[in-house]
Amino acid sequence: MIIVEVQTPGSSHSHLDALLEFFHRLAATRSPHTADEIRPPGIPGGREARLVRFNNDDLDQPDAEEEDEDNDDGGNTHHVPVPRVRLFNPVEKVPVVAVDCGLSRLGDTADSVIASLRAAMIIVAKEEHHVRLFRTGPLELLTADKPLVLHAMGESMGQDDFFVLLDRSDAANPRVITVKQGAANHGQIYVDRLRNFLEKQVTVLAVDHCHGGLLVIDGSTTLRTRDTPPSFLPRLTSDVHERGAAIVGVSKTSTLTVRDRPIQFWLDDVPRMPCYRHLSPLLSQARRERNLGETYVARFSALGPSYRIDVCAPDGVSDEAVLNQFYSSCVGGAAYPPILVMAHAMSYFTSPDLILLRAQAAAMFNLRPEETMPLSEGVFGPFAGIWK
Amino acid sequence: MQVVRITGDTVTFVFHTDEQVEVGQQFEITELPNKSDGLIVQVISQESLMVEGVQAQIVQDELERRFTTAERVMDKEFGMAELRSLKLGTAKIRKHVRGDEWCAWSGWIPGRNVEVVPVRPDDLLDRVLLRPTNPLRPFAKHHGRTVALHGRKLDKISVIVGAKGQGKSHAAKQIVLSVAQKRVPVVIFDVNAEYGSLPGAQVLRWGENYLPSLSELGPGILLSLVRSLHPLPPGSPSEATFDSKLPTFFQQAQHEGAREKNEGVDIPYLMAQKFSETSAVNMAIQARLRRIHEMRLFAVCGSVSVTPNLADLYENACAGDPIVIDLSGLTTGLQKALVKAMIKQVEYICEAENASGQGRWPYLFFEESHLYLSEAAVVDLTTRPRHLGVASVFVTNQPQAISYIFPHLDNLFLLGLRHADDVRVVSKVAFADTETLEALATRLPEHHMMMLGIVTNGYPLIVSLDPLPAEVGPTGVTKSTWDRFE
Repeated sequence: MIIVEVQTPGSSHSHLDALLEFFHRLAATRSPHTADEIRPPGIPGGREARLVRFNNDDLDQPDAEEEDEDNDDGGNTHHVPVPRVRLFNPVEKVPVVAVDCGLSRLGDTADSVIASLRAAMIIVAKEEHHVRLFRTGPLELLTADKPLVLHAMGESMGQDDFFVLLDRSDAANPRVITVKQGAANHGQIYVDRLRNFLEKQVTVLAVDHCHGGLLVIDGSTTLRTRDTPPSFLPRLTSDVHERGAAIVGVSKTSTLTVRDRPIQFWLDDVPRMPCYRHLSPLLSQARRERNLGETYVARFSALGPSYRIDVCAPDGVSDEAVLNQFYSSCVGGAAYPPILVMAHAMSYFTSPDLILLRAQAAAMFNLRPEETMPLSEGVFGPFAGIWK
Repeated sequence: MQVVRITGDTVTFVFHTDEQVEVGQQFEITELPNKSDGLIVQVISQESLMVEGVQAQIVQDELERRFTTAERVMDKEFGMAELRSLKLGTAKIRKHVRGDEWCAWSGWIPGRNVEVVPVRPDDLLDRVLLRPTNPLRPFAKHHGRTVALHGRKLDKISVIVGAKGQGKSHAAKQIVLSVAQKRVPVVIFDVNAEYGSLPGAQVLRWGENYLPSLSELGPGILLSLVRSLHPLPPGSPSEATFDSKLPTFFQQAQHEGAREKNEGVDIPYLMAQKFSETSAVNMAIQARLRRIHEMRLFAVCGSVSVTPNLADLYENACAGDPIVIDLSGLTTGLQKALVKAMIKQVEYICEAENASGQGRWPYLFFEESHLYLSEAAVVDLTTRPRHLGVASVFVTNQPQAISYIFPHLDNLFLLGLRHADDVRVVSKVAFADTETLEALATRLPEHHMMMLGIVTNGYPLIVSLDPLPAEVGPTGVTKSTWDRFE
């Protein structure tokens, strides 16, 4: 059984210990079967692990598990005039922290998924960069353990029944009944839940490093998602605000449309200029309630694209001040915040990394990798792959 | 070790730095599961393994190091540096293994299901050198195993080549000692005064302890000396007269009958002859003869001779005492003249050996032959000796200067080369592929040599040279004004 202490504010050390313990136990999990018992007939030694080709770029795709951003009809805000565009003003730099987490799916066996995670916390303060890396190494995620793992993850993020159904007849010891539909239907979703979990836990650890500064999140601050309990983000935001810091979420692939116009086009009236526009007044009430903080569209460089920006400022600090701090401290004229680029780079798996991790997994779990020929290059190769 | 690819006669493989893989090493690639067929391959080079994304990884690591301070709070990725410990090797197919037999390779290659094991040095030597029944004195080792060479396979035309300081003279001395030990006569043309310390060496220094008789050497040497040192005007009556009359006087001297000990032709005798009715011609010829006489290069009839007879010297050489002709103190012109004359003498000796049926034909060692032998003379040496029985060994650090030899070689002893042009010349040998020579020539360790040719049955064998016997002096010692400060 995997046990993780629920983190409490101010106890980042215990939280780190709990996080490390969680992954230590996860890595130590072994199949209930011995290698001999599950050895396929006729094949000497070891089990077989089929390597599933996983394109790391898929991680950058919009999270399909997020509730549809979809078109927001604006509710009864049609009378609200479009807020004017504002320019960024340079201000004194503040500490900035960003977190990103990458996932590599190394392969499958008959009863498990093998994956590896890398998370990076980038701290930029007074022109210095500091990086804290979290690398789990290969993890064998047994299907049999999925309910327990998901229970522990949900509990750690503030809602023990977020991913699983529980029998609370014994209130002190709730029993996991089953995994909720949609929580981790197949291997890819399961490992991505784990990736999100690690990212969130490292984000909690990052709070201690953003005093008087900014915590930058890759993505929006939408409250209701399929991978994070709705209580997590508000609690995180409270901790951040206690330290006099703000949260800024940057979505580079948002599908939000406002008044039938995709968000990326909401600065077209002010081309080739770093600027931003407040969009929350144009959103429906329901949409605003689903988001923590205020939603903006921003362009950071003259020729750069536009992004969705969510701002959660502490009391007494305006969004404008936060955006100016953000622009001055971690954008600097770049098309995309370099701190997020670095966070991605430090949590990315290069091809050689995948090769080595797969080898490590084979050694750790007594597996024999078996290659499958990707259809896009094999059967469908002459026909431009599997894409139409 | 894993085989990545076999293309033509080249095998590419991946191996870990923990595995012992050296350039020149042999491996056996056996096809599984039957293990009835395999290949013997020889490693010729190593390089870094490049896989897709490794450059990105290196850049990422470097950025991590240079631009940030990185703390690995949790790191359970073990062995991530292992990819950097992998290397790519290139090997050449040498033999096809069928059962227990090593055969010439005819193009067969195994599938990808193979087993790769190193070839034991003993096994390699047995199969390549075929355990000679009457081996030469050994002077090299292959991975600690003594290399025994067959004397007969060291015959005819060999070259010892390598950059300065790589051990050519050391190798040459070893071969001289091995051949001489078998009582095969050796004559060395020593341009750097390196071979005088060999045991039993009969060192001849022209004009010092060697004053040959002109009768013995013939008119040719005198013609060469005049042409190179004090030439008569080309096309002049003097030149024509000297060229035509000189042999006549030599024959005349032979017919004149008995004289004192060391009788025959000498410079004073020639100076007393009348070459021409024209006094100017006579004076020109006399002047040349006088100058040569003043150089004291030849014995004077009637004087007490300190010069051993060449025939006696050769007899001693047949007992194991090599003849060393020290060319170091001579000008280029004298070197050329003397070498030409001596080779002529060797030819006479060979004819005599042929006639007597003794067959004691010599090994000739030429150190930097391009300094004193023309291309025509060298080509002559590479063709006629097969009929005369003479074997020639050329020692050089300038293979480009004797590039015409390489296509005709029987054996190549290659030490380290650095210059690409030199490597290119050496790779012209008929019995080796260019890739092997180009790869190995620049990768040979210190005191190592590649032997290739008839002596190794066509197999490029990397050996380490044994130290010379204690009684042999140091090789290649040059004098320097800075020695006195040390």
